[in-house]
Amino acid sequence: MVVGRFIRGCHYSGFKQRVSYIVELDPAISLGYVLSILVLFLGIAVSVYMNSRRRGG
Amino acid sequence: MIIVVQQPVPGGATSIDTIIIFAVLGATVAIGFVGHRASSTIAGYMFANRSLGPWLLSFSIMATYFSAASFLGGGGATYLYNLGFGAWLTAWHVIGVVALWLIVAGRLFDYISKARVMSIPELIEYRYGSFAARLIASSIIVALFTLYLSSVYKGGAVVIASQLRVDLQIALLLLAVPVVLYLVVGGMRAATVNNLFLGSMMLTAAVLAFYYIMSYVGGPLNGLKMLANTTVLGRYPGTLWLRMDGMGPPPAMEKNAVPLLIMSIAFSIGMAQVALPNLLIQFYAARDYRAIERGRLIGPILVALYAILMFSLGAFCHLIIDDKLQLQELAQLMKDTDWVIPKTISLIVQPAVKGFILATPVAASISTIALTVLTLTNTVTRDFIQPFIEIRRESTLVVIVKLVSAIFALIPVMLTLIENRLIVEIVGAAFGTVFACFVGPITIGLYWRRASREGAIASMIVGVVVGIAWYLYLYRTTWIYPTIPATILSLLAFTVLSIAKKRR
Repeated sequence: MVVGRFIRGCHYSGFKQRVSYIVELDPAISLGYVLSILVLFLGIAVSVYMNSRRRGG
Repeated sequence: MIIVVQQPVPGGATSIDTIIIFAVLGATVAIGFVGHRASSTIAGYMFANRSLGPWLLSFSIMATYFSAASFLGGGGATYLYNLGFGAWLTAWHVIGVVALWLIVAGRLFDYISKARVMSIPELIEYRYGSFAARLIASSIIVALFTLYLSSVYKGGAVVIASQLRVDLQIALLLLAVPVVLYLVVGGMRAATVNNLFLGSMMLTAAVLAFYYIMSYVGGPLNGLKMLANTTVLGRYPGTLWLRMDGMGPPPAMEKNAVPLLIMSIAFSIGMAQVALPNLLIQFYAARDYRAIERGRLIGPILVALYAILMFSLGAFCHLIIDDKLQLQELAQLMKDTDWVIPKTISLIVQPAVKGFILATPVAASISTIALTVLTLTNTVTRDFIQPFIEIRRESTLVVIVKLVSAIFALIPVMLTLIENRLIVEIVGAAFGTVFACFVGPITIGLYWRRASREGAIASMIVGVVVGIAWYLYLYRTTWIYPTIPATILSLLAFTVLSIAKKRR
């Protein structure tokens, strides 16, 4: 219900139309941006794990 | 590496903008005195008495890595290239910085601390038991970093010359004198504290540049929509900027080589972080392992933030400046994209804020120059002077080291003024070639026990020869950036000779 309301809200606010422009961006380009964010968060997660393991060890 | 040609910035610098540039230059000298006390010993001058905490270390490495080229060339690149360049340049920077902090930093810190070596070539000698390998590494560092520095000087000086409307020679002096002063007074402590200041300034300017440009075009998504519906130079549809195989240098477009060119440049620049001696040597100055642990969290965020904010702005600048330029000016700007961000910022940002943003390439140049000069100083004294001349008094050695710093801060200034085509070409290849030479012997050598002396020496020689020869003779016909073949062949030599040595 909440999700449905959110989607409808997004639709009315023009979100759907905006998404179409992201989709128009070549997937090879989008992949670069998505990979940047993923690698950054993965790097931070691995750093936290490595730091805690070193202290624990 | 980007060589910038001086162009007038519309609107020019107001007096407040000029004051800001002088304030930044003055502040770096004042901050230099922070390191005055620490610089009376060699360990203090070269490594800040191994006292750097995570913030100083992370900001210093980020500010050393990003020179004026990151702001001017990195920011403006997608004015010519499609947005794939911005996306993948960002991605490779993030991959490179995460690899630097997660894979290289801790291992290198442990290794250097255990071996008690004080320079990267000395580390190579310790690792491979070869003085010849150390001398080759030293020669490559001195030759390529001196040439690389001349391009960094040029990037900063051209901005100063354009903003203050002075000759390039005067601009070079305005840039070199503060660096020499604070390096001689404060050594690494001064350089890293300055890099914290200059790095913060670069990040703030990146946020401001992103905010002003994106606000002007109504946000990134609206900007994409407008870009898709525009036509550049009357013949290039804006949709070319939304496709990876779309816009790029016309000769590369004719050969359908744009994606290959983008990926090879982005990989070469982004991954260079894992093997650049002027970055690696800073881990030796870390206070303790905890500084590395915390730096692992801070360092990648700083680089990623700057890359995400800056590297895709150029494409959106078409929507701001194209209708204000003559067709001829526009065509020239497509060839020399370094001026896209300064021109755009000058048109849409009010004085003072504009001065702050446009002082950023100067800040970025200073921060890179300082730590690279220190790396050169370290290599020259530790690997060329000390093995051959015994200097017993530490105070004498400190004077020599400071003298070497001043000399190596000024040599690239003179190289910048020499209009020799060969020098200009080799400068273009220097940055990527350093990576190709050292990624095997240093980065992989930290982990691979089988790596041999023969492999390390061959790797460095193959890297430097292929890197420069490819740039001079093959780059503009193949559209493959020289770092790629240089790295592949240098790693091949490193691996094959190391395995062959083991079998014998």
